[in-house]
Amino acid sequence: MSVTQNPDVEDTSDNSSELIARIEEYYKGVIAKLTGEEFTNQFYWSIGSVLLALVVSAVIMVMAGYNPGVAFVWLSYGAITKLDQVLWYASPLILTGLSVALAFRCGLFNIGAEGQLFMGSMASALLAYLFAFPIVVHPILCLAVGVLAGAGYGFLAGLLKAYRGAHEVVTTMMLSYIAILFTSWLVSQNGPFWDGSMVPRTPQFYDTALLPVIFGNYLHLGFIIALMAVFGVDYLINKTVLGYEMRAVGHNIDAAENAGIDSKKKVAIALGISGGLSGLAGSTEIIGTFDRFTANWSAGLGWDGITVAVLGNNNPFGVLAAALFFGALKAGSNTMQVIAHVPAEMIKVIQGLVVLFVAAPRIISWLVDHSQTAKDAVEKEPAKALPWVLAALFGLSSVFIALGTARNIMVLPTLTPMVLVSILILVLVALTGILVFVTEFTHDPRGSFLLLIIAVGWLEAGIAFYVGSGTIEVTSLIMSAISFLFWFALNFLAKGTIEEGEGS
Amino acid sequence: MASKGTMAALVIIIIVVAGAGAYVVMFNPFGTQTRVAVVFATGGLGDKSFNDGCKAGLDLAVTDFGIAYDYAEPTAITDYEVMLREFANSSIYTYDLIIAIGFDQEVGLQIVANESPTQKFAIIDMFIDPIVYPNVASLLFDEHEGSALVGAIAGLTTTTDKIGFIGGLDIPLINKFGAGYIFGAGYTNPQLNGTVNILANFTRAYTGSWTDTTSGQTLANGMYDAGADIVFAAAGRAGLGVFDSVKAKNVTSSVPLWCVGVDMPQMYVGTADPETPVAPTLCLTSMLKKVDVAVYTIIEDWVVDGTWNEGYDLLYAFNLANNGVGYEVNEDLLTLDPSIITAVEAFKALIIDGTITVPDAIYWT
Amino acid sequence: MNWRLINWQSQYRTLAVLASIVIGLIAINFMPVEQQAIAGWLVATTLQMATPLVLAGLGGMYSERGGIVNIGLEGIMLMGAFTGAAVAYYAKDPWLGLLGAVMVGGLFASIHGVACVKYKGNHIVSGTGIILFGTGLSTLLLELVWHQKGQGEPVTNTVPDLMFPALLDHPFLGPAFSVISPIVLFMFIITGVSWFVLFRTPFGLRLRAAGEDPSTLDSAGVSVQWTRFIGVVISGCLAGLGGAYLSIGFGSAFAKEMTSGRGFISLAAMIFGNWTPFGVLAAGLFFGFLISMNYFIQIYFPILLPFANFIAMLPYVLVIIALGLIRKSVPPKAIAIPYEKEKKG
Repeated sequence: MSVTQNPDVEDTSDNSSELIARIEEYYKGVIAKLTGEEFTNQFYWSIGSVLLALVVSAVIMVMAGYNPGVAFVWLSYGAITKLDQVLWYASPLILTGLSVALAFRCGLFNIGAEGQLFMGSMASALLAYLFAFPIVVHPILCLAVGVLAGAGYGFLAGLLKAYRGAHEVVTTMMLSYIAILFTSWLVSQNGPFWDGSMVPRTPQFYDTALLPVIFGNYLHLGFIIALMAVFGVDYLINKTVLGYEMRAVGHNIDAAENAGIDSKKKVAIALGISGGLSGLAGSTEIIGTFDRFTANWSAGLGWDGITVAVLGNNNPFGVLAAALFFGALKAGSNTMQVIAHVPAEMIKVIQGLVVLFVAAPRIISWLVDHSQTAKDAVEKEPAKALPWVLAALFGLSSVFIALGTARNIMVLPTLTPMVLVSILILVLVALTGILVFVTEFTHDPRGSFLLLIIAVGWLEAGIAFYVGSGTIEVTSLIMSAISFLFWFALNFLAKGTIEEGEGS
Repeated sequence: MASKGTMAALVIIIIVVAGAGAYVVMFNPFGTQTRVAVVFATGGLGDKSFNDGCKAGLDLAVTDFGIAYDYAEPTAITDYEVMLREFANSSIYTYDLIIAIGFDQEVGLQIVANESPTQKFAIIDMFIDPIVYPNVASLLFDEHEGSALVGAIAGLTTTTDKIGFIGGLDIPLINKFGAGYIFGAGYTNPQLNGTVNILANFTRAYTGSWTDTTSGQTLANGMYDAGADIVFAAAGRAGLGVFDSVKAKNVTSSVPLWCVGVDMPQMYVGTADPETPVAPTLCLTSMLKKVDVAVYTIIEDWVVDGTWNEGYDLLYAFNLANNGVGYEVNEDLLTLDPSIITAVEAFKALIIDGTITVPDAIYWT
Repeated sequence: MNWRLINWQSQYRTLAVLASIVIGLIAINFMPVEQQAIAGWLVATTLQMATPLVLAGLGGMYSERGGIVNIGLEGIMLMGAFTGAAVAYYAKDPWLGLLGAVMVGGLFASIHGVACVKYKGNHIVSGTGIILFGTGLSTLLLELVWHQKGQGEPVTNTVPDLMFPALLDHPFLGPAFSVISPIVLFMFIITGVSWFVLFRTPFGLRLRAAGEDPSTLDSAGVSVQWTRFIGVVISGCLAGLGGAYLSIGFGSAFAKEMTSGRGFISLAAMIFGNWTPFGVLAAGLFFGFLISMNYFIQIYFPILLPFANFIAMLPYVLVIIALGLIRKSVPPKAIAIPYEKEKKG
């Protein structure tokens, strides 16, 4: 060991220890955030939204003639057992989600992540098949070029927004259409990078350029890169001056300007970084999953990034969770499609509903509050509270059964007008069922009247079907009888309470 | 009284037994029924041509041979490999044959076929080297020959001496259709023969998508307005827009307008109400690319008869000679002039005996 | 009349537009007959391509003028297209189909309205949900109603085109206007009506106030929430109609994801048109024209076919140039900000 130390070395070691301290502090912050109340609330809300979305989509499945039970079993089976697929599908979504989320944090809506992704993947594809580099260096260079291409593309939109006031929703969207058309021209038979086959695509990449598969059949190194990006973006947004200034611009541009922040520069940089993340998503996919660039290969990873970002509340860790959720849905849907024959569109419906319920968190709080009240009431006076809860559940099951029956009638070979009327009545019954659920759940006295309506509705549906087809719909009659029973029970109960109230 | 442990064990046993029972009842894993799996192209079912044709072949195989099939409809190119592997490594069924539909499944199929050398695969529309992959059969079509026949009919029917072609994407696979079509038209109609005439009287355009019917309809509108009276579309579901266009444009047109269907018999789509097709139809004929026959043949050969060819016999070519491609004649909807049929049959015979070679790529410009 | 109140600049602009249309028509008259026919076809195609964009764009304008971002137009258009086709198919009446599309569009938008206005959810989140939900649901229902995948059975009773036989023989007006869908005409009418509603009626004033400065509206005793909600519902109705034009006005069947991104383009048209009715109309027509130019060049200039992708790119490039170099977009001030009533102390 030398006695005299180089001052430079001492300097860097000081820096590095400081860096370690900062990283430690940052990790503590992350853990505190994950265990904090806000995050737990967010977590419960998300779970609630997912459950609600599953219930509503079950209704839709019944209506469309699929068995929701079987579908969900296979959906979850696929999502749980195919971990490599889940993470693999999630990794590009994490990156595009981060890209959109970062822009959102700066008050920008980067709707064109798809285009930046195509530009990034094209750039790395060219480097991957045109140039030979040694192993390890090659993929790193490819990724770097991809990030640069995406960032440049995003930066272009950023410049237009910052200095020309061009709305970023329009420019990024238009730029994304341009990118898709441009890259598919490059690899087409008229373009310079076509491989001469029947298909518009580039020749195969050098093996040195490909990212290794790290787990299972699919999961490549891109997932680790995406995970690192999550922490990186979180650090950037929450712990750096640039991130703070970007958030300030996103929060209130005038206040930020007053505080001396060059908002234009920040806007351009934010879209640049956002584009870089999308470009990274494209590069990791193209050298991780594929071994050549095919025109239009992405089919909406950038668009899904928007959904992931909004679902994750524009928080990097939220984005990670949302992307994993989407990956699980996608992997599960493959199994569900193959075994239960439920089309992949069902997944879109579930995704849409989850997002809608996330958009309105107060719906979940409403449900949670009333479930709590109902639970307390049942514990206190089971005899009085239970019928209400049962009636509410009956309302919910009416929805399912009515739509299921309607669907069964609809596939009959002959549809007479009266049968169509019975279908219409059944749909109305289903709508009333939702109202019954809401009113009974909240102990609304109007609920008993709705029960009467639903009873009459079931009866009418049965009669109309009998008139139209000459066969008796047993389900309708049974449901009608049960509705009448509930109505009597609740009315009797209500009277009892009133008398009791008067007596005391 | 049983302890908690015993109770738990009992519950677990009941669940396992019930689960296994449900599994056996639902999926009949010990049954002898043979199964086939299909991975469709991303355009998806409902194109009334390519994908639906494959499904028709499968349905026929189900009724004839009593097999069962499962299918998947991928939404992106990444899904091909996943779906193929899902079927190849399925824990529920063993599939006797997995059919990949469409040219863009090539890469995914090669990977999965390499992994499961005992599993048999077939791919439609793509050549996969049977020496390297002895477990993959390639089903290939000479679409240009079939297109030449409908082109010949078009050349004889056209009154304006101008015809049009709408493709999905400007790719060699689709231009095969267009090249054959104009070659056939040029054979029967001198106005459509030779580079100068082709450039003057033949329009081709591309929808840029397999699904955008609106785009197909607008392009066809433009072609009819530009004077073409017969438009041939090979654009998957987007091509169905041409039928809307011909129905609307024929009302005000001074000359009769026609369209030509693709892949499956589509003449019924050109009638006023395709659900109950009655004459007249505005669809002159359809170029038949009998993917249903192809799917049926490979199932019959391997799944039913158990013959799996070796070497280059694994390449199944479907052409005019073995009736794998052709043109549609539907006397109920439209009766073509007998002289046209005679001319086209003569042309067909010349192609089959090799006197005439139909070009399979753009040969003018 | 108070002359000072007239916005002279806008008057000149209108005059300039009208004058250029007249000059254009006269100029076309001197062209050779074949070229007149081609110009006519271009005009007709422009109108056809523009109609869904303009209708949905106007819808988006109503919503955004009230302060609610509605990026869910794509999903609403798809539901409108589906409903239009389904109702016209079963009821054998295209007008009922259009009515159904308008109603379902409004209903679908009211989901967005409830989420954004009542539950004060994030507009982008809810809009994204609407897109996904609409896309998935319309495809599922397609299979349910027609037992078909990808594309439904053709609807035989589509919206009948208006015929003007008198124009048929004119080389330019014939191909351009002799056969025209009533929805295309309706597009022009609704643009004028929207202008009137937005700038000349109390409701329009309130809607704009809800988007610019909701607290003034509130202090005037008008419910900000209801005003915004109505704006969103109108947007859904118009987007639904735009979707139905695709399925039963122009085409004759509902196909899976048949809007293919037109909802997003109409969003761009709305921003490009600076959130004004005539601006949206002009932007929509401009987009429609550029889209039809793509078809035009493919058909009439086959020499350019190898560069078809660049031609298809042209509209997007032009829009970026126009937005980047010519005009600045100024959205309503209070857009995407949920209005919380100030607590009375």
